[in-house]
Amino acid sequence: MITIKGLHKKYGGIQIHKDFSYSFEKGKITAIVGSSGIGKTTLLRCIAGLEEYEGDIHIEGKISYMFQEDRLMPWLSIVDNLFLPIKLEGRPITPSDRQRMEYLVRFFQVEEHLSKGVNEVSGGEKQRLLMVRALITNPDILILDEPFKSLDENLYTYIYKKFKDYCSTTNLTVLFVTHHMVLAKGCDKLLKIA
Amino acid sequence: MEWFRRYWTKIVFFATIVLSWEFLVDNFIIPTPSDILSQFFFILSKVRTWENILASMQKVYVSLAVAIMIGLLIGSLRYFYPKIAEYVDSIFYPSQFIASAVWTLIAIVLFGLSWVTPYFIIIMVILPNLFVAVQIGLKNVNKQLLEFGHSITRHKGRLFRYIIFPQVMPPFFMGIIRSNAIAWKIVVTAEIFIGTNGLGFMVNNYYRLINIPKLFATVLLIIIIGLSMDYLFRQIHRRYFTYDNN
Repeated sequence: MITIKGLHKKYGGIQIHKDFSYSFEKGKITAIVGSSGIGKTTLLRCIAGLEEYEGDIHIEGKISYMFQEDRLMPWLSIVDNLFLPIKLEGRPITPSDRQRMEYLVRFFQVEEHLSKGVNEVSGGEKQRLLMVRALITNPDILILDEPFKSLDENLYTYIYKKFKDYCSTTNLTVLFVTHHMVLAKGCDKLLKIA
Repeated sequence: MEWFRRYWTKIVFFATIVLSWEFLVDNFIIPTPSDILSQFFFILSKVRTWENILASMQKVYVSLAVAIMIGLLIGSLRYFYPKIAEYVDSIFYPSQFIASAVWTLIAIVLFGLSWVTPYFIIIMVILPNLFVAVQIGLKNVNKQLLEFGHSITRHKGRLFRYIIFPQVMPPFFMGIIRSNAIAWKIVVTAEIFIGTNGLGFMVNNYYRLINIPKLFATVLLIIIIGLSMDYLFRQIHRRYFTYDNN
């Protein structure tokens, strides 16, 4: 559950959000739509604590953020990249973490890509691996900032469908920025930023 | 024969220089390559030469190890305590403009002709080099990757270990490669003037004895050791610190 009250955010004198309030429901996928530059990413960044802001954002649970760009560490293997969030959390990798990874890579059908180098996987494979990385720590809230933007229509829809299947088995709260109106309308909630 | 096709122009160029030297240069002034080569194998057959090689290598690599530790410490300080690092910067950055000869004089004033002196000179000369390498590494840390880390944790230690340090290492290791070459130049110079052992001491000894073929043979030995270590460091850099960012 995320509750935003009276959010104010300025970028170099330009007001991006003025007295913005909204509650994201627990366990729902909320699509965030709006024209380019309206402040969708800024909103997500404020929620993730990557931007300073005025106002109140109350978050219950652990957040995982999937960015527009892949942001895979080129010095790590694919497997080490997938486990990186756990290491950054300061926890040792446990057998249950390994089981979770095995489950996620099977679910997103990326088992055969684990032994490849970071730059040997295609765009679609990369996005599915990033999905595994975003979910490896078992977050309560997942922020998706147009992660499939660079993919073609079919791949975009396929990965989103896989992701939605995954969400149906969990109680994950998802904030999903997209320009894809068909997919946005298929989400549980729709937030239009104007 | 692929390698020959690739390098034949270089081989021909090198052979032309060596053969011209062998047959055109008066060996009364400069020894011929064949003289140097025979003396090279002769000095290599002596145990004393190997002791001197080890003595020089010990000075170079102990100094390099100390400088690496100080360099990494300063690098970490720059990240964890940027305010303190500003003061450290003001000391180390200007020191790169001090000539090695000046450090030699300072070292003699401070330590006399003791065993510490060559170590001190090498460390003081290569340290700014490593310091600048850390600076470049920290400056070029990929902000997007760091932001990914920030989206998970604010723990500076973990961010440094998993995201910043691996990005600082490639330029830092290039600094180590440069420092290796500089350290060899300095150790030989220091041993020529204040050494009681080492390859520089051998050079000075053969100079005093006017044994120019052996002096050149020692120089050849220094070049071979320097190039070998340089090759080793470059292989480590290529294997562990070259990331494909495409």
